[in-house]
Amino acid sequence: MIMEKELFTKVQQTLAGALGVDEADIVPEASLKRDLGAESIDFIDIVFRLEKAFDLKIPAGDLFPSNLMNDERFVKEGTVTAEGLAELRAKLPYLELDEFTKDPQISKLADCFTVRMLLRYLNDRLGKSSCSDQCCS
Amino acid sequence: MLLVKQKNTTLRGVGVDLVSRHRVKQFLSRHRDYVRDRFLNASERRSFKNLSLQAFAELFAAKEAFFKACGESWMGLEGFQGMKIKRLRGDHFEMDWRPGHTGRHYHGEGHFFRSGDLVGAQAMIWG
Repeated sequence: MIMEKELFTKVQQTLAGALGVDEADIVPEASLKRDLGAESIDFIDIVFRLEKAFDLKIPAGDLFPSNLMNDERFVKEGTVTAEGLAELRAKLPYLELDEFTKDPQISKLADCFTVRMLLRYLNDRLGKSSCSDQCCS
Repeated sequence: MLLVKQKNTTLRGVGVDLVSRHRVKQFLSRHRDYVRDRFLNASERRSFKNLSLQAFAELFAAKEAFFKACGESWMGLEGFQGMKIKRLRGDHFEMDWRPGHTGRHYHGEGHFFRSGDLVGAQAMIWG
């Protein structure tokens, strides 16, 4: 079982390699897009790198939203509906949506993809259950 | 150069994307097998052996530009796989996409452009 510090260090290394940023800048609350500058090719790169680093398969829609955000029930006129927010919470429980719900514009959803979200997801997938406040909580 | 359309058509969406050849080269060199198996659709996969760095960069930029022109909220890996890009003469291309389970259908056209390390695509959807 991977230890908490080891998990965070591997995620830091993975993101630093994908995004070309300093490991010191990769903190749990950092947004992959807003703070670390990730673009679309980077998100795919990150998924593939995480799969290799942790020897697991990350299915489409498991870590980032898939077609559900193209569903008219969930996004209307660029805003995620209450039903959409509920769906996001159900399908992507690793996302931190508290801030997003105040102004749920779909264009801002990517700001919610944080390092902590990756840690929570990996923590769950790797079967670890005791991350501290500094890590996944 | 924009393609000339018939009269009485309306531009319903336009999208532009730029991608760095250097970034694409890094990405491809690291994930070539993943790209073949999970990024490309069946048609693109058949020709992947011969897909050059330039061709892949153009494909990526075209899909991103098309996505922006469609105005859909999300693309994801399924979107990349679902979009069909057909290269036409010169730097022109055609695009087709049915985002999963939405019932919507987009068809458009576009063109590629280049500047130094950057490969770009402009996509347009007419209605």
